[in-house]
Amino acid sequence: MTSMTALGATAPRQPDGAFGTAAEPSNRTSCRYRLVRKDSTEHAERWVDGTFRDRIENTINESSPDFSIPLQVEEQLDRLCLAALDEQFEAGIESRFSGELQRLCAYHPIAVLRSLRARLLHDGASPEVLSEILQWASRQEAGAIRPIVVELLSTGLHHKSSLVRDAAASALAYLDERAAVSHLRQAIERETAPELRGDLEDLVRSLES
Amino acid sequence: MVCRKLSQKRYWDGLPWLGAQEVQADAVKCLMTRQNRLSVFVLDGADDQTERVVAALAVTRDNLAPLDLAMAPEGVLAQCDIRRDRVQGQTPDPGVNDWHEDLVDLTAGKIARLAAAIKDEGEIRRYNLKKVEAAIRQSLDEDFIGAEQINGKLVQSLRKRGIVRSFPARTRRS
Repeated sequence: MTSMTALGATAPRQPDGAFGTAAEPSNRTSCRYRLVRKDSTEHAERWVDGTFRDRIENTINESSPDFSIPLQVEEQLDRLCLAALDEQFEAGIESRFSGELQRLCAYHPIAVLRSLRARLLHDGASPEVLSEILQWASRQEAGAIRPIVVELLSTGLHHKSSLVRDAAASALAYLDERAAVSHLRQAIERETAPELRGDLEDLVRSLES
Repeated sequence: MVCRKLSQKRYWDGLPWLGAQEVQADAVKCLMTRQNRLSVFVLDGADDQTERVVAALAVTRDNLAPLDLAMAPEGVLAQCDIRRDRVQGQTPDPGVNDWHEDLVDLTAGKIARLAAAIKDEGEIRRYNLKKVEAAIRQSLDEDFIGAEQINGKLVQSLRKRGIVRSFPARTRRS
């Protein structure tokens, strides 16, 4: 709980625009990995509030096939998802959880989305929290991460919980992409819950009209 | 018809272990009371009234999203021995606000009976994203809602989708 509060606080930007202290070297890549190894919330705050250049660099690094999700991203997401269990979510209403996800994603978009996809495949995660994650993901507009968002949402269509499958379908519809309809058609064929199946069919009709 | 916005339509679905007339316990989360009161809209049955309620509720949100409603005949309130109080709503559509009522002096038992009555005699209706967009567009076109009344975060999304075509009048003047 305390970690969530700490992450939600506005981190003071460093004088040089970097996320480390002024005395730290300016090499962004080495700095990023050093911070990943550290385990303090104070550093996490600086790290989340990265500069635009840092974000671009991380997006490129994280796109490489041999990239592994930094431990600190996993830890931050663990804390956020745990705190989110106490929240009540409603479609269309921004939650504290989605605000925190947005902050975290601003600096490590691909790592966050990949980690969230792994959580989606993990049986123990809360369906309500996963649904909120999918709705938040559909609002990520950067072109570079769009394919990962689509992959995340289409993974959600296979989830065992109908709450998650429903959220994934609505999120795909929000993207307004042609690929959404084909994913939704396949989801209709697999769907066993009659009420959700009806909603998916109605959604496809609306998207095609 | 009595109309209530739901936070999660899937809570009203049937499940293999659930009896035919039973409702999931989670459905009660959609009937969350404040000071033993529950906010509803009472409509005379015209279809466009429901669309207007959908638009009025949707424009108070932060983002475009599906909107789910529980619709039940007005008679279920008397069946469940539920008292009503006419209270002006707080949406941007003054007409919709006139249809607003609070169900009052509610007990846990009455809420459970109301949930069962909704499932038994009513309908759980989904307005998907496209239908919500269409409802908002119609309310804007008919001046039930002004663009300047829409939630600031939502208006950007509506502008991208061509639902709000220009900056709201107040913004232009300032």
